[in-house]
Amino acid sequence: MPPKPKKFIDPFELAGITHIDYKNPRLLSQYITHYRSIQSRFHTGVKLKNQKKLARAIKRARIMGLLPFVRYEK
Amino acid sequence: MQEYELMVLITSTLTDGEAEALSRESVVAMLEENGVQMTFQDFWGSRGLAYTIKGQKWGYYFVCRFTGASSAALIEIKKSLNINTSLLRWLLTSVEKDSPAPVKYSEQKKEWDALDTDRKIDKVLNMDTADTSD
Repeated sequence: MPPKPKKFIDPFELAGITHIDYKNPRLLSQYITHYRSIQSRFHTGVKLKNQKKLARAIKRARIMGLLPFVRYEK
Repeated sequence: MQEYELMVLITSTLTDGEAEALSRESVVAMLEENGVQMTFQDFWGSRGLAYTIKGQKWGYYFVCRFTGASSAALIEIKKSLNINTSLLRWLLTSVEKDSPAPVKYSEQKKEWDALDTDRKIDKVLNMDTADTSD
């Protein structure tokens, strides 16, 4: 039998965060990659429900100039 | 009643006092003209942008919350925000029911700075231990 995949713990459930705010770039920047794209939940262990909230918050923060869209600007 | 949150990014061509006056007199006054009740106001001050917007590297942020806006009033608010030339960007969102009470940016920043100093102290302490081990 193949080994069972490792189970991750949702960091938001662990910290008891129910509402992910777009005005907190410090928190959101932990969930973007080196090239500033949204990190997949395969790597972070975020549950689907929270990942949807997270993605929305990151997109809002990008529009307002709190987070970058890309790593290098022209 | 539905609560809304408005975030506004003001150009860096204005001074600090002018930007604060603009947010109070132009944005809040415009909202109140449309018959809404203000529940929260917070002027962040200047902040660096993650990328250049219209050739500007920084701007002033203003966040406010209000209730009692009709659908017709919201259309008027969006129209006048688009007309205002001293705003780089604006974002109008509806506040979720389970969201916590809003926090002032100055208080939030104090927390972040405290975290930063903690991290720096940890770094220095780790360096000390590394030196002694050698």
